[in-house]
Amino acid sequence: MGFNQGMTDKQFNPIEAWQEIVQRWETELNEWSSQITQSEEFGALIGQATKATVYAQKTMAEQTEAVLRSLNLPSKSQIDEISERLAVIEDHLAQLKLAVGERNPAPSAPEPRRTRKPAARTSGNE
Amino acid sequence: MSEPLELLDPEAIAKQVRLEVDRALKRNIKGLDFLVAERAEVGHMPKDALYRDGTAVLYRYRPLHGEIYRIPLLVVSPPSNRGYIFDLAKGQSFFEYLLQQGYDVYNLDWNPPRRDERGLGFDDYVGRFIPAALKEIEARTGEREISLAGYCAGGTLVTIYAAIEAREHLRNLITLATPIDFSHMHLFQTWADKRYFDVDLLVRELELIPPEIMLGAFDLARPANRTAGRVNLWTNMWNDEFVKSYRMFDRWAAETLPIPGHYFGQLVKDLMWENALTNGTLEVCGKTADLGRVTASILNIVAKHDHVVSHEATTPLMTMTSSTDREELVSKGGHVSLVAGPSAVRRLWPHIDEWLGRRST
Repeated sequence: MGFNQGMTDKQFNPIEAWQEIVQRWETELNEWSSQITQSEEFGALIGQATKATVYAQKTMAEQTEAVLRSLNLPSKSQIDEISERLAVIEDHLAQLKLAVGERNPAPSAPEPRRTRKPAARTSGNE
Repeated sequence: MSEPLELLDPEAIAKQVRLEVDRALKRNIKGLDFLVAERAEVGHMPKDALYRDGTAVLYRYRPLHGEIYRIPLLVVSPPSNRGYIFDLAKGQSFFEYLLQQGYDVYNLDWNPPRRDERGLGFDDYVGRFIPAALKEIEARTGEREISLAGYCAGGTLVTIYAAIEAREHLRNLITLATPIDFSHMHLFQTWADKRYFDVDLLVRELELIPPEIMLGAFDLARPANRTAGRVNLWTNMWNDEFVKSYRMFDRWAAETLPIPGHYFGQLVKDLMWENALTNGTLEVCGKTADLGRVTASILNIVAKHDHVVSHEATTPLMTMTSSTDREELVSKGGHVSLVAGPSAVRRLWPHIDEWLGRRST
């Protein structure tokens, strides 16, 4: 319908027609998916799939960790640990910077006056 | 009536062909640029960090005027998302707009939580970070009264804050796409079905819940969005503004944050399964959250085509709170369009200004 209608318009714009097709496909696929994702079977499937993914990831991580250790290479958990420590140091540095800044405030622009009133409106915004 | 004969107008056809050839060339040239481009720049308004406690950071956006509204505005970001969605780019920034209108704007934002923060929960977000941010703002401004705003889960956090004890200093509450009644969060109800979803396993094994877990649910609900988005990008590759906007949103979506396992567990068990905030059984900091305690003026903003947070999920803000000054606004568009997007700039934000200005003196 929309496509044929486009043909009778003043100028046929192939890009607009293409966008219309994509939009319709997007809407229809999303609607179809919404119906499926609302079913109980879908919930059960997702629950099982999530559990299986977590176990699979855990097993894979443990095996990879063992291989890396045997090769004397740093593992993800070791890099994560270093990253965590860096984040803690960064956090402490930021807190120190804030504390120092509070004690020795840098000259900054004067604080604005807190007396502003809303401008009178001539017409509603509803 | 239409004029089909114009279809055969050689001049019009030639003009259309020239336009399409030009755009096709631009698509190819700019498409290459897009593939090799660095990360899109986001967040352009000057700001200062005032407080930091692990994942929590409080920013003050520098006021643009010498005279501002008396009551400061604190906007709380959702813990799973970066706050720069409020300040994407010039002309597309919620914070820029608010600063231009003369508000004193603060943002409680979140860094990715560290592993040792896996035990953070509502007690920390609501009972520690928000009060610490308010204390800091009061110390800076001398103002005890405050306007609180929150987007998505950030809105849920500020509502819980308002509901755990009478907050006479809380003047205004602005909620944007904020879920309160989780029985209407249909997608997540199915996804985290109590009978099949082993939340304890996830929390125990993962400690920090990676964004892919949540994003997977969004993708399942809207499987065509990603592909359609890329097709639209290609079609509009000639349009610099479209591409710029696409890249900024794409970066924001890609930088979804992990969330602490304990907080995730509370979201699923207390809010999703028990609907505890609406049922009045949510315990935070040893107190029961009671929506009836919320007396601040409320502006509840809902997106008409929000597939994440339905209108019904927000309604307790309008029906269960004790506020005598409540207004609801249903805006066109989807979940993100409330805080970033052309229609928000033109229609929604002026309405927020009109509402908040009168209540910020």
